Amino acid sequence: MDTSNPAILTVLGILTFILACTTAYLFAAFVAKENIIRQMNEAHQKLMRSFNDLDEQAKLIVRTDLELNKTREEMDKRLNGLNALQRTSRQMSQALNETEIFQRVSPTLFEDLGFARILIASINDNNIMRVRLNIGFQEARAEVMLKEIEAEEILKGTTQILSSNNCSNKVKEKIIHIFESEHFIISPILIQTGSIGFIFVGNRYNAPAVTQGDEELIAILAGQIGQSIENAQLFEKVFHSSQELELKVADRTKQLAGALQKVNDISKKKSEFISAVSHELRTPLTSIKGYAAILIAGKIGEVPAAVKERLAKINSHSDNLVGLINNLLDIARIESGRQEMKYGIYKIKTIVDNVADLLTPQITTKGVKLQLNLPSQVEGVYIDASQAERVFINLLSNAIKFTPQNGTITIAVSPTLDHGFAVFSVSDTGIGIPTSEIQKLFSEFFRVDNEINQNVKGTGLGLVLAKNIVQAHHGKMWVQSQVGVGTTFNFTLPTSQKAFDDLTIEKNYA
Amino acid sequence: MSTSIGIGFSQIPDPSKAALQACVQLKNQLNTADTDLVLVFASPEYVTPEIQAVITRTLKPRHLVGSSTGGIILSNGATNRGIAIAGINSEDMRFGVSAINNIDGQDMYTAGFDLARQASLNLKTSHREVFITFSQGIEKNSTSFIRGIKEVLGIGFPVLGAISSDDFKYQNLSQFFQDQILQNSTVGLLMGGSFHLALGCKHGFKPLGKPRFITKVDGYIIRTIDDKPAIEIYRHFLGKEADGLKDVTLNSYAAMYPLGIYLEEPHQYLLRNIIDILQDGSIVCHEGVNQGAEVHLMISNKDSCRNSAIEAAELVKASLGERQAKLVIIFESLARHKILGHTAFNELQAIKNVLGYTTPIIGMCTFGEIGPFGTLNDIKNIYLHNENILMVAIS
Repeated sequence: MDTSNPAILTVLGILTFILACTTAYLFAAFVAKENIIRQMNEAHQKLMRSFNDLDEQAKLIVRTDLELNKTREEMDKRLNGLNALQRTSRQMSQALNETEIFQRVSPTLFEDLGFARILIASINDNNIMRVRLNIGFQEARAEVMLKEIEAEEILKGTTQILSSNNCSNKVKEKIIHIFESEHFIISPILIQTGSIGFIFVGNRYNAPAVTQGDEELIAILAGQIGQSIENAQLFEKVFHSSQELELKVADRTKQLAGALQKVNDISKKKSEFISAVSHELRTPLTSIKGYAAILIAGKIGEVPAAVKERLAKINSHSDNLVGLINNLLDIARIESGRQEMKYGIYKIKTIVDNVADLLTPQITTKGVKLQLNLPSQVEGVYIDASQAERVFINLLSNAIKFTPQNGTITIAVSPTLDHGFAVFSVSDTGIGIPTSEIQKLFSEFFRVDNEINQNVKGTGLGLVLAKNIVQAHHGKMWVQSQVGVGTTFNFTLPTSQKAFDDLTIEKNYA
Repeated sequence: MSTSIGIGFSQIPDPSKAALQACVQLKNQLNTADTDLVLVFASPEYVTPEIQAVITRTLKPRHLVGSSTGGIILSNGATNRGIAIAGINSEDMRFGVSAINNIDGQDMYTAGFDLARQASLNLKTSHREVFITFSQGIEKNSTSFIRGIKEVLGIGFPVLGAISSDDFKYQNLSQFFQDQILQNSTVGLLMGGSFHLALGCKHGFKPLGKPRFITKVDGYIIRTIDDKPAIEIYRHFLGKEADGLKDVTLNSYAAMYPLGIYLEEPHQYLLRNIIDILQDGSIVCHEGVNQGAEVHLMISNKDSCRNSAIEAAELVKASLGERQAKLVIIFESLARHKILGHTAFNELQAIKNVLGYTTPIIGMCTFGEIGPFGTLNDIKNIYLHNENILMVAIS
């Protein structure tokens, strides 16, 4: 080839230039691509690193989440356990004997705690260990297990909880062998005198291990059972004592009821007797009085003055006797309820004024002052007027009798009611009654031993009659007295039919 | 034209007495000699032949379905013990029931197909609204089961359901069907006639960590995730606590942290509980998952659970519009219920805040919920879910 040819040289030059340019371009492109690859590799690595970081973060999240879940699960379990335990405890606390206590231990409690095998045993009255609750074991096997537990003396003298977490390997192996459960808790049931049984809970294999929370809950349950058994034993003692006491009370009540019946019978017979005798006496007395009156009147002929005087005494004594008999008859009638009462609303002032009018001569003669204190707030009373008047007459007569000259007698009514009843009082400034005598005042034929009574005649029935009349009105009568100062008789009478009826209902219910 | 609905509940320890008490409560509300439809949810200790006899004798149900459950949901609270019975008498609604026994070993597509066909024949009306199933044993191939049902009822037909549950022992799972108590079976209830149906389904779980991918899967067994034994995902996050997973399975951490499989089409996480862990570290799930699917460990708490319940209730309310729900049936994951613990009551309160305080509610806790994501609008994508709350309102 002719290398001196300029055309050829030019072509060669151009080709060389093109080659150089191409090479330069290719080199530049290669460098650029390398850069891109490097950048992409870097980006890929960044991405991978981010992914790996993300993965590591996720790992942290999962592990934190696991911890939280574990805690939550344990909390849930404890919460469920505590709820179930609370329910069971409440049930057990209402049980009155050991059998009932064990019947009320709910199997769901153990299910909530995640245990599939449960055995509760306690000694019976004959000191023999008996199965009380069995879940997950065959009946015959459970009995054998009790014997094995006793033979191995695993629980002898134990007051602490045993669990697969805390007991020695030797004991653990024995328990696993007997109960065929890898995870377990055994808690003794203790009362003051010592252990009376045990609770076993467990799971075979492939189950979560027992936790401290499980141990605590089972220990609480065992404590609750022990406490409930002690309470039941105490209750049984108290129940027996109370039964004995009730029997004694019933027996004594029966005796007293018998005695009361006897007293009522006697009282009834007494009333009937008095009534009969009084009737029998009143007829001849009327004759005696009649004849005495005929004789005094001289209808059969003039009688000597001395005889007349004796006849007058016969007449007077007969009057007293008739009065006495009438009082006795009234008392008997009122006590037996045979006295027909004619209730109505009457003005207090009218009743009191009537009585005062009736006794004015005696008041005047005795020279005592009568004061009436009848406030307007209490106007009327629901009474049998004739009977109520007898109460006032009796009390006022007594007051006149025992009040010295210039003394004061007061008839008063309290301005306030006592459950619809007006409270009356008849007070005097008389000689008063010794405390020892007050209790006897309302006894039939009782008369206070004093100078006045020795000189003035009386039957000792007036106050009894007055009290009986007040009681027939559903009221009450009581007395306050101080020797040398005076005496006050208080009594109540209904102010309305409602007040009277209310008390009738109360008495009937009583 | 009327529909009357009643609910009875009892916790009397004696199952027969409890059933009688619940029946009497229900009968007092319905005030009729017999009952068109009876729904029974009972905790395992109440699932006895005697209760079935009592219910049949007392309520004289024309159709009866139900399930054992580890938790009963009612308007006034949730409990893990008792028997709840709902009864419907209606001139507007029609019911068809069916059952397939001994489901183990059967082809799930055929089982679903037969179940739906029997219920259809039993319904006696052409106007069908919803199919509800209570099942045990369909979990491992629920997609085929649901496909079988849809083959009969139509691709866009609402299929809902619950997997029977117990107290996490997996030993006392039962289904109620007419006067029988079945095990290892699936029962179906086809509802038709003239009524409105509203639905809400939510879970409230959020994904954790970086995306991982299922690298090897055999049906419902996830062998490896990111080429490591599947259990490593739990070991990574839980540390030594993951060692306890196998022993207590659903009753513990596995329930709190389910796997979330990301589904591209509905853009949702489908939750899966672990039901077993194999010797080689493989994870056994309810229902199969796809190889290559993105998977996350999922996390939730009481608040997010409660909020998801509110969201589900709001979906129901929106669908109801001005209508008043006559009965709300809730299927809620038992594992999720466990997360809520004693605050399950708050979740119910929140639901009632949305749906109204007087709305009658009955529900059961499940080992799996069959339904769409969200509402009836997503009815083409029916899945077996875990850890969801599914609400169905009838108005």
